[in-house]
Amino acid sequence: MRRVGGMVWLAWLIAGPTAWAAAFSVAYGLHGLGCELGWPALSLGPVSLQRVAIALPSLAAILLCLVLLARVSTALGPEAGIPRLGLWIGLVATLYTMAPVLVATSC
Amino acid sequence: MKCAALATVPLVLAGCTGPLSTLTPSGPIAQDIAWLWWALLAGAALLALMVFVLVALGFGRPREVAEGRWVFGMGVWFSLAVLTVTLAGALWVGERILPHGPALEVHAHARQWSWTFTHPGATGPTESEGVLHIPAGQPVDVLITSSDVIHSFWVPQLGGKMDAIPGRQNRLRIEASRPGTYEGLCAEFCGLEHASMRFEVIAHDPAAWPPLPTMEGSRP
Ligand SMILES: [Cu+2]
Repeated sequence: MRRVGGMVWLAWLIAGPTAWAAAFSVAYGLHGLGCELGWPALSLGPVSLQRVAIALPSLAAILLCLVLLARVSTALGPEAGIPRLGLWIGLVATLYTMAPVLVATSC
Repeated sequence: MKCAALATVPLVLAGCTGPLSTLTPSGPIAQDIAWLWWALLAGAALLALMVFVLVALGFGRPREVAEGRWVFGMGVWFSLAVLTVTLAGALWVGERILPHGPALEVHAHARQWSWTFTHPGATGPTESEGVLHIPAGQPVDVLITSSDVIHSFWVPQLGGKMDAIPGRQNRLRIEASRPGTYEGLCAEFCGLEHASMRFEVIAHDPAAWPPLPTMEGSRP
């Protein structure tokens, strides 16, 4: 099996936490924007636009982690161990930090 | 050395009481915040204890350590459990102290370096410098504004803290259980005289509310 080295391996390693951090930052920004623009009052079906806006970046991050988890073995072979753990950390961290946002009062 | 260390403990603990202490709450909202503080302290103490035990183990003779138990059992699951419980507590308290439902409204206007308060009086809105009048035993919403820089309204014994931001009106709910005088301060550095930007909140007996203009300055 070919060996994957250096920066590519590093990119796989930090992909999970990076996805979490990006989703967190985007949700943080959208939250403030939504409060100012009155998104909590706009309903999209059973939930407000505000909750959808905050949840979407997290869903994207979770999806990204799942896709990368499905590919990490083929991409990295025997070096996949720690990057796989990183992806799980990103996925669980995203679920953990975003869950309260969906129930708490927003603005 | 030990004696000196022990002698400072009462000094440090003395900071935990007094008119500006969050740990001597005088209303339901401040009480909730105080409970949360104790819960967070307990959680932090548990986690610190775990770390101290680990360090202590390191000083003993080399021995077999169940790595899985420490790394996953304590390091991951125990820490996550403590964080989850304290997070749930914080969310619960956070929801409880929000200004939901009706409340009496008063205004707090900040500037460098003083506060002007407005409360509903017997003959219309009444302004007062440096003293906020509220009725005891009922929730009060403070509508907070600023005319220059960012300040922060804080009465530790009655509720949380809220920034006064130029161009915005922020709402903070406070409540005093009993009539009395409570101390407040600006909690956001706002310039040279920031430290002297103090004020008083006088909670009146509900029977004597609204206060007559003549007794404005008097203590209940
Ligand atoms: Cu100030």
